[in-house]
Amino acid sequence: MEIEETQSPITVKELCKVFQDEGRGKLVAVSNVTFDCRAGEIFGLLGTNGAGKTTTLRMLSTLLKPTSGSARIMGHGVDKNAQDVRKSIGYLSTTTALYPRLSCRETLDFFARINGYPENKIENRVNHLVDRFGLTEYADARIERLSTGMKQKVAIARTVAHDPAVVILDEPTNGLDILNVLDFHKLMQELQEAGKTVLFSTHTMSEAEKLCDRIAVIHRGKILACGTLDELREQSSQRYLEDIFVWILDQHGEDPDAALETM
Amino acid sequence: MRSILVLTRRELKSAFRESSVVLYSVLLPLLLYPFLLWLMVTAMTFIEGQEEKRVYRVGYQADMERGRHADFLSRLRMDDRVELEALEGELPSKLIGHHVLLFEKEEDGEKILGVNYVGDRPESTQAHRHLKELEREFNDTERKKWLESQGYMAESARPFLLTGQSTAASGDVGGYLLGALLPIGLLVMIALGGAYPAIDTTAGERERGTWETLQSCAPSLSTILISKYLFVSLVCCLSGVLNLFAMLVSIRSIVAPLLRENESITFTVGPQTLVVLLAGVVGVSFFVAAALMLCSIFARTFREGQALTTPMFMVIALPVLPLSDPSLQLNTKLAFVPLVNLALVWRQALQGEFHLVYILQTLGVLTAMVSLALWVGSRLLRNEALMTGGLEMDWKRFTGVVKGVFRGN
Amino acid sequence: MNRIILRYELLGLLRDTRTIFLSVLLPVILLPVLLFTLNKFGQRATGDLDQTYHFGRVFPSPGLEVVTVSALDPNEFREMLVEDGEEMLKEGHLDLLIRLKKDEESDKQLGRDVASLYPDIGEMVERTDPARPVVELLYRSDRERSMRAYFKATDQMLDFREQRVKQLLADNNADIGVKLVAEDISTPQERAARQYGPALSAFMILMLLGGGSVAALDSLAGERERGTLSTLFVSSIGRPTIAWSKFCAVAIISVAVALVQILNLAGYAIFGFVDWPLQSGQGGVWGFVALFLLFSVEAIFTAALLLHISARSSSFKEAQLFFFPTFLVSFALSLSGLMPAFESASVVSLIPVTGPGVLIPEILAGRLDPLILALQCAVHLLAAYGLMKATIALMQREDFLGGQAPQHGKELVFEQFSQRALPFFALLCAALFVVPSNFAALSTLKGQGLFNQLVLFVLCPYLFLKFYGQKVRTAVPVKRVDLRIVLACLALIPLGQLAATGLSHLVGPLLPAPVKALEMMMELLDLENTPHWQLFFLIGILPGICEEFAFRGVLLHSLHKRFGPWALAFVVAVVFGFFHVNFFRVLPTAYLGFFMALLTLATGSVLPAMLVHIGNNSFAVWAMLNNMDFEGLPTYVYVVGFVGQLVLTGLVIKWGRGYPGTRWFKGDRSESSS
Repeated sequence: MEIEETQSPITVKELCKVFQDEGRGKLVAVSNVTFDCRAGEIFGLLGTNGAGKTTTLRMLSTLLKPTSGSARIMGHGVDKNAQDVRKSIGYLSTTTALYPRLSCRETLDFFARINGYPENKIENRVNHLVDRFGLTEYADARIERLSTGMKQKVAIARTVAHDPAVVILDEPTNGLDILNVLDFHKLMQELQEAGKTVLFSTHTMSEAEKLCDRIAVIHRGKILACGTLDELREQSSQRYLEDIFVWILDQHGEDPDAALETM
Repeated sequence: MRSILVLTRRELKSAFRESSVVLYSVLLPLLLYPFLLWLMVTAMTFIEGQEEKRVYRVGYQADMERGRHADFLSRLRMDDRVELEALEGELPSKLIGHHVLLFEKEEDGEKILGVNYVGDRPESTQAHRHLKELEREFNDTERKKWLESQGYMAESARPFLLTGQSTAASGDVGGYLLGALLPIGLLVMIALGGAYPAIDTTAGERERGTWETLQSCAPSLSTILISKYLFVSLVCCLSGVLNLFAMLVSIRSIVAPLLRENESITFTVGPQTLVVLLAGVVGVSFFVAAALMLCSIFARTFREGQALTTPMFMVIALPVLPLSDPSLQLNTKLAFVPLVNLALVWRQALQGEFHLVYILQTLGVLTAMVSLALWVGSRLLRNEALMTGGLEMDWKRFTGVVKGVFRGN
Repeated sequence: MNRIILRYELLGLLRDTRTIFLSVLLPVILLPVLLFTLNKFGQRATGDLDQTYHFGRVFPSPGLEVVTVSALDPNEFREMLVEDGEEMLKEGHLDLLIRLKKDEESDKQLGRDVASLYPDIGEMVERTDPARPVVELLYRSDRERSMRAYFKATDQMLDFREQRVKQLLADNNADIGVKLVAEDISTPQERAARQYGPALSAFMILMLLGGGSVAALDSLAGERERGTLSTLFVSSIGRPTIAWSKFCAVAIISVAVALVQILNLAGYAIFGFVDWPLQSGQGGVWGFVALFLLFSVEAIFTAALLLHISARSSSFKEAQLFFFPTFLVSFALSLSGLMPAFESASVVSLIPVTGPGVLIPEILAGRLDPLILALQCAVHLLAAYGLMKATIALMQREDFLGGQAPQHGKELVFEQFSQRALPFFALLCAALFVVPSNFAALSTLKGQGLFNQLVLFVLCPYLFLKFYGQKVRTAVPVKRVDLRIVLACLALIPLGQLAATGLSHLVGPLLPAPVKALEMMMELLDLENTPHWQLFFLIGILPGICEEFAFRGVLLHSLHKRFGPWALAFVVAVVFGFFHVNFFRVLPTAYLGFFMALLTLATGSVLPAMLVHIGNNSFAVWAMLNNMDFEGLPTYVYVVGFVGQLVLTGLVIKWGRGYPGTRWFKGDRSESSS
């Protein structure tokens, strides 16, 4: 898919999400979040547990409707053109799973098909993905029989099965061993080289440091800082991302110890 | 449309790799009726075997040996299945150690034999029946002897013979039996066949996490739900068709033990009847699928889904009760009762009767029910919390959702 | 049992308000609907019985009106004169058609005698060509009303005939015959007990299984799926304690659900909405105590049963798979009270669920036998204990929490083949019942030979093997065996025959073979018209080869990795037994099948089993043709047969190489199949 250079693939403006909870009343999960992702960029959303990362990503993937604000992906509004948005993205989170009784090949074929990949190219695409992700030996094995690591590989493969312009990943390396994590990093670079925009959330500082072109720090539903690693280092006069994170929280009157406990 | 087909195909592929679906929708219809047959044959053979060997213990007043009924007592003594025991004095008021008690009494100046038995004990009732048979045989013999002594033919003890014959064609009787048995079985088995897929495709997917995976893909939520609905309806249809087939193939074997030897029955289903049956299967499948999915859509896990669909399953099975009366016929009032009307249309079709008015009425009611279910479903689609992950259900939330359906938000 | 686990289990269950609603409240709400509907349709049925039936009397039929007027109750039957009437009967305008015929077999003297003895009935006798009259009742067996009219009219006409004959005797002062007047001395309580007893038993099982099922099935299977079971297993509490605690939780829930339903029912009885047999003053209180005891032990048993199902399942959904047939079977057994031949003072009381089905009507009737009650309670408790021991044994296995290496390739295919074998054979059994009854040609001896033996027992299993890529030579090994084993098998033929006959004698009182069933079997064999060589071939040789191919070949091979040798022989024997249809044949056939399976497992070849099977069947044919009867032999002969069978089979197990892939295999492990 072609990406227009004049328009950011992801534009988020004052996005808010308020939940109504019987016990706790109104819960502001995301408040006035604003950022954009440029084409071919790996953008990291960094925050503690409960910071609002997942909610933000779920709104961008159209699973949740924003309470207010706007978000556009590839020029399509998440609230008004949800279907077009979903055609343009590949979304993976810890809560998305695979169909246990389909084989790897069938899974990739299925997701490519329903996301509108050209039918005459699907077979080649599936073979390429099977190759790329080292699934050849297990291509015809059912998902239920694979190990956790293999399942995650298949999950990532199906996310990009239809070659989306934007890839949204929510804590994608959760549960992966070191080799698979390295392979994942390599995949991120490949996607970037292919001109894809990657937005992913993590609470692993080292991963964000290594992969991201730009990082947004989110805490209690608000973006506290956004920029390249160098820019954040300059701002905070800290070298490591963990220290930068603590400094940002401190600047905004948050208790870093309490925040760190939840990471 | 393409997305719907792709999604439905995927659902079917996954479902038939799941042993539960194969069991309930395929194996169960094919195995249930032969199993019932075996059970029935076994039970009847067992009872027959027991009864053949049973010896009835008959207690009688000792005085009877010197009375008018001494000959009858001798006749009883000769019977292999009667064990007599003379009782001195007054007979006990309860049957303990005997199946029946025999005693002489007077009625309208006539000395007759009284038989006490206990109706709630099968062996006592059987003993009574056996004695009645022996009474008939004995009287017959005595009468014949007397008539011969008077110079008449012995057979004149029966002044006329009584015969009975059914003029119903063998196909009509078959249709009657099919009409009595098939509708109930079909309704229950379609619901059973559809319950598991309905729960699994909603609550089950949520539990496995594939619900969100699918929602994050290109097809819209309504496309996804339509394909799921289509899938559940197809499985219900399959279950119905297989049941229909299994029932038609097994029915002869099932009723054969119950028939008298000289009764012949054919079970043929004409093309018109088949059309009505299959159309009904399709209609009720769509209704059952909608009803079950409407319940399971609220659940977050398979277990919750099962808990929520159980009442609906009971409601679907409730029409079975009145249908157990084989004489129940369709009329204008009953034609408005969902499921009962369809079952009765089936019954009539199997008996070779086709009342277009009732069929159209039934179709109308079924369409209205399916439309209502789909309308409610489309309203529920607007509830974000429900669509994303089900609801932690309590009455307040539930009533909130129901109000939302009618308010359209 | 650990109180902490019990408490938390109960807490978890009670917090699931939805399940509580569905297991407890919903049946309470549904019960009046059920009772109302049953009542309504009961009234409707009774109402129909009071209806007037329309019958047509074919005109002219001189004298017939005397009979119809005298015999039939004018309040129940309304007469119409018709010329033909068959069309009207067909259309439903008439319920019954009555016409006059002649008894073709009677001679004229009989006609004259009837006319002379019974002047009124004699009107029906034609003077010029006298014969005994036949009153013919025509009805429609495809209409309920018509059938009822027919039965009612028949009863009334027979009564009338009887009265006429008695009148004749009385007029001639002939004091012959007897008159039996019966009186049902059962109390209303006893009658009501008969009506409610079976329903109550079935209702309780429904509530116990339904109420406890979600809790029990989730307790192990569901927790295993969620991962919380492994968390519990790594705590300081041992697995047996965990099992007993869960059992107690499930049992408490089941009993609570059952109690609520009984109280609900009792409420309806007390307020008179339901005629309840157990009244106070007639052992009412003790009756309720007895019922509660019985329900409690049933609850304990069902809790253990459900927990065992849960332990065998890897997920909640899989547990549901096992639950449904269990539920069906239990429900069927609970209806045992409907079977007239079942008594509580019999072996029925030794079967869980079945015993209460028979005992409950007796308790309701006020005939409480404390000994039988105690026996049934003991049976249920013992069965529950046995199930719990089995559950604990399962839970202590290393692979209980999963974690086995995933199978692929040949291993995976064999696993699928193995899992589908029993359902496949179930389908074959269904075909065995159903197909011949739809094709008359297939229910003859030759038809059975062709269809059952060649199609069902050879072709279908062969295709099943091919579908899963299994080698026929591996599944049905026909290896040569030691001469000693051959001789032992030959000796087993008559010994087995004797032992099986002895077994039939032993179980005869419990599982009697009705004369009619035996006659039907002899009819099928048609000994007089079937050439002897055909009998030997169709009954002796063909089944000996084909059935062994299917059962000790394909079936045994498919299951040999799932069961140990003894259990495997038992399972194969039971399946083999069920294929023999009549229940009185199931046991002796399964018995012989067990030994044949042992021979296969001992030798690693189906040839010994084939030899014994062919020999056994041929021997039976020879005995039939020569009118040899093994039924009346002295008991010691059967004992000798049994002991001989045991000894010889033991020797074969000792001498044989064993079946590859089982514990009995003595050869090189690399020879093992798959």
